[in-house]
Amino acid sequence: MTIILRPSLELSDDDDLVIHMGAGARRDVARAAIRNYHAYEGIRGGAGAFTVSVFAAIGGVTEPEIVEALPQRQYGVARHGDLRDRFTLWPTTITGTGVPDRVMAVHFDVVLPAAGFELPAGRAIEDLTDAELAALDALLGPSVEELLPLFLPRRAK
Amino acid sequence: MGNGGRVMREVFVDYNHIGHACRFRTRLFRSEREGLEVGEVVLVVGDAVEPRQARVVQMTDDGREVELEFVAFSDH
Repeated sequence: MTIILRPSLELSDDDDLVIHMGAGARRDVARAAIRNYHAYEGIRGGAGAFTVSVFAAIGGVTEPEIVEALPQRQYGVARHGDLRDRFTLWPTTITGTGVPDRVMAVHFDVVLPAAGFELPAGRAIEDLTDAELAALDALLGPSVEELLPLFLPRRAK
Repeated sequence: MGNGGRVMREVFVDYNHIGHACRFRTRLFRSEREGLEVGEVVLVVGDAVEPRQARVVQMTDDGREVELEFVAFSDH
């Protein structure tokens, strides 16, 4: 799996963003962001990044297509204009997934701020202790709690 | 329960990076990888998706990354 940064954001304020999220989203979004940290090495020069996947209904790709492309049973929708002042979005394509190319072409990562986080030299994120992971979860938590309500109400597939 | 009476090990995945793939790679945290072996069946969990059993197909030497295949798609 490789993450590729596309050259332009391609989003206007009125574009809808789809996030796949269920009842455990607060915890699971943070867990996924931590797990994927190293996949973002080199993107914008960073050592990694904590991100949340969203898909934009743009370029002829519809909300139903995005929803069907992934197995999650629940999702939410927000306007880009409601996010852009609070979060940075990266236009990213993830290779080697089961997501159709057409849908992956409208994938974006919402970057979670992680001020103060520094991975100890020589260590991988998946080697952190449970206590270190809990501290990281607490660091990302407020951003996740700010992000997810923008996508409410949660909708059933 | 599974694996001869032992509690089945859980592996959390981000389905946004997997989609509907039946075979995929994922990184493992310590608690997920300790003692894990190729051929073992694990319970794959993720947000808003029913847990599913998957078999470990490959592991990196350090065990930090595995390739999993959902059991429905692999030999029982």
